[in-house]
Amino acid sequence: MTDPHAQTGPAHGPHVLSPRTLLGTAGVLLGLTAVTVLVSRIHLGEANVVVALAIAALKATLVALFFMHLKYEHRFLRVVLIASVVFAVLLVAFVLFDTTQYQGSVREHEARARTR
Amino acid sequence: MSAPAVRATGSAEPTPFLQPHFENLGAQQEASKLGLWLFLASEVLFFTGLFTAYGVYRANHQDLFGYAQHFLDWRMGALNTAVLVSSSLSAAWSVRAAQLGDRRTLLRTLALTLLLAGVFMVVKYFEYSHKLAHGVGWGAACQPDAEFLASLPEAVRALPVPDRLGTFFAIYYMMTGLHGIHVLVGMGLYVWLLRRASRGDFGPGYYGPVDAVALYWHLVDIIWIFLFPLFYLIG
Amino acid sequence: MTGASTAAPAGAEHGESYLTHGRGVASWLLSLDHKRIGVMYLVIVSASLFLGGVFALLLRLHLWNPAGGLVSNDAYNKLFTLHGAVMIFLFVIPGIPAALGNFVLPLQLGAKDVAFPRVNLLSFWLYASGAVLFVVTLVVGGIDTGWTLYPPYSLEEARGLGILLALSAVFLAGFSSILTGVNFIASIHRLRPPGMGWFELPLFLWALYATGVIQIIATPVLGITAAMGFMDRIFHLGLFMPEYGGDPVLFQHFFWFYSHPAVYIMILPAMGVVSEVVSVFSRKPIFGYRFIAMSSIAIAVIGFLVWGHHMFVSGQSKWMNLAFSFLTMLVAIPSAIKMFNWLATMYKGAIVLRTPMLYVLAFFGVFAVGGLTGLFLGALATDIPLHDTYFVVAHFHFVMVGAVMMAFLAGLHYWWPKMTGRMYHERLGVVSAVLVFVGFNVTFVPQFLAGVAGMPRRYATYAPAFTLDNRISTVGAFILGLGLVVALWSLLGGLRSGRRAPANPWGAASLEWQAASPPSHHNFEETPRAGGPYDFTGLRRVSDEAGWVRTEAA
Repeated sequence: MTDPHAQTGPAHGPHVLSPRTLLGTAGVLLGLTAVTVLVSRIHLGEANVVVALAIAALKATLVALFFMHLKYEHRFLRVVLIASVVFAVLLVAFVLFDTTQYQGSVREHEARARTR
Repeated sequence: MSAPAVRATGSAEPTPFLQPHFENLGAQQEASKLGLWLFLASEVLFFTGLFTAYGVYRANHQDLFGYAQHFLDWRMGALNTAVLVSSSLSAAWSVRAAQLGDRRTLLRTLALTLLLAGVFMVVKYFEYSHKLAHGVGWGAACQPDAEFLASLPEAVRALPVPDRLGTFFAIYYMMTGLHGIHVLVGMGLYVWLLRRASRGDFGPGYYGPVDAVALYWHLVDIIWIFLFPLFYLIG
Repeated sequence: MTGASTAAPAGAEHGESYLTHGRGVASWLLSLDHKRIGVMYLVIVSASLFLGGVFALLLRLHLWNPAGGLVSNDAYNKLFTLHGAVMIFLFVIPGIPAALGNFVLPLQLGAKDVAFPRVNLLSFWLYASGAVLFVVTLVVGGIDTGWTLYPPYSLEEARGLGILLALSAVFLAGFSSILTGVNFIASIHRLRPPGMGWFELPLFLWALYATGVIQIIATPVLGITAAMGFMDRIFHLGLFMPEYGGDPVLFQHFFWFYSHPAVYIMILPAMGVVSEVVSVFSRKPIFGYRFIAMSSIAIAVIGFLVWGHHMFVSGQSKWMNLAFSFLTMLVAIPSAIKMFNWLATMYKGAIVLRTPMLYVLAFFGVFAVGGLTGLFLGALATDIPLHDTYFVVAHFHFVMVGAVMMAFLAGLHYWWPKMTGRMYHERLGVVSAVLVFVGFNVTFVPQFLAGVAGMPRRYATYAPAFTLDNRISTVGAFILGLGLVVALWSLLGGLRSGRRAPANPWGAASLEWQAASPPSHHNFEETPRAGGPYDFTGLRRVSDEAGWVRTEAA
């Protein structure tokens, strides 16, 4: 019984991206860029950041799935990317949360320092 | 690496690029792809530190970010985004060309990717030089001169210059600068690929390096996809 | 004839091995052979242990008297900073994975090399460059910030050039570590032989895999932090320095996001070594293989969720304090699972008390104490009074020196015959193990006591009430040092006059023992077929010279 991960290449030929997929993806990406710019002109307050990041995440997903052909690759490669993003989000989320919590005491201290 | 050219027949014949510890090129290329994705995972975390710093400062100095964003020209940012997306297209196309043994398209798409990367850096150069010439540096060296301030939109001109402006630009220069260094490295890699491609090294049986560099390049694109709105659009 | 051979492995007859394949300095320094790279790492890792150890002995000598006196207070601060930095970045983190792992991993996979030999060489040179920069840091006057390099103090102009060198050294060593992790994970995925599915991997490889995950995810954050600190210092960017608008607690979050998982980079390979040795030297298959394998992954993942326990008193918010304290309790569980499985492996086994096993037995005692004292520090309420006392110092030395260093010595003795083709001197090995264990405990147990009594860490002087604890500790440090010298003597003496080692001196079942001792340049002429890595059936000890041989195909 040969181990599927042992020293062989993929059983089928490698997936070649079609011109339609390539141009289509590029087109959608450029379109989404335009959307990002347009939406930023509308003042949604806090939601602006969320929307902009969501569109960016969508664009990044398209680049990863198609240009980086993750859609056609072994599942483990997707795990690698997703894992790195999960840990990245963990770092950002925990640090952001913490910093907003202790900012109050920093500002208090700065205010006191200014009045001295 | 003065190896003779590989015949673009696509079969698993002995080739000068097969390393002794792999049984065949297919296995070698699969391993290289995995290795590169693992490296890209580390790059994601590398930039995350800076994105975190961005988040922390933005959360704690919201007015600052709203003010400072007007110092950046969104049209240059959008242009650079379009440039990078197009370069990702040509990079992905170069992989296709190599897989199909289409040497002419391979050379053209590699060259186009390199050219577009160059355009990106030129735009960047104009952005940076304009700012630095008018005193918009980083940290304590962020003292925008009167001419620059006069060029801002009227509503913004009326506001006082925040004293933490330098912190915004510290993060701006650090993030876009680090990204720029990655673009330069990518350009170097594309020069290397062009040299090898013009020697006929790549074909359907062996195109791993083209694929690997393209994957790296797409990550560079993805990072910019996040940088663009965060700095140029959401104030 | 599958998997079993009474003939000597290829290469042994001609006296040709990886050591003789290619001569001259360049053939070593530019070698793509994982075995030579492993040996080069071993040389620098050992030199770093020696250098860090000399600093430690100077520190302990200075602390003989409450008022210090051996060196100035400033010099003392520089000594403990460089002791920590050199030991952590140049010895404990790379020690087992780079020096032993590089050598053993491809052999255990029945492969000819790691997946990316050129990247492996690059890893080595990045590490070596980092090591050189740390030494240069010393030469230009050192740094006195503590190995944790906290701003604002560390990034002030007055610190001089040293901090820039140290940050650069950290960056280079970190990059080395990332590339090693990439190499190991790709190798384990892609270079396994027929018959070796995921649950037939030797546990040392599971350990290196989990370590690789941490190396790839955590280390880049250290890298960017070093870069940010560097830029902050030179260009006053205002990232960490409050006077320019920065946030020093942000540095701590970034620093510990790496440095906590880093301790699992240190301990996981050590646990891998223990799994190998305890099974072979109990003549019994490892108990709970899947639990040990999965717990390695669990430690790697949970290890990312606890970094804030280093920041309980740094101004971290109370919600984060609570969250991190709770999560820290969780990370002890997979480690405990391993301990139980190792002990169960020994139960009713035929224990062979040779040097590697002695170090492993020492590991059990010391790791238990180190791990349990970590819980005192992870619990929020008890951490507050213990923070920055010698209790913390003792805790981390128990796990980093006690557990990791002892496992390193176990592995080094275990694989020495394979690496060098010679047996080390067993009696000296036993003496070294005893001296190291006794010396270690005499050094660090008093430090727990001093810490609970309130002695602060990183102080060049102390209250006279702590004198006895400190003096006992100093005596212990010299005993420990002596033990390490004896270990070195045992190993190097073996090179000169030790018995020629057979392919399988220990009766182990993993694939590296099917290669010659020392292996030929290509390791194996043909890819061996893997059996169970802890399947000792059919292995018989023929003689000292011929070692163990599997007498019939299964």
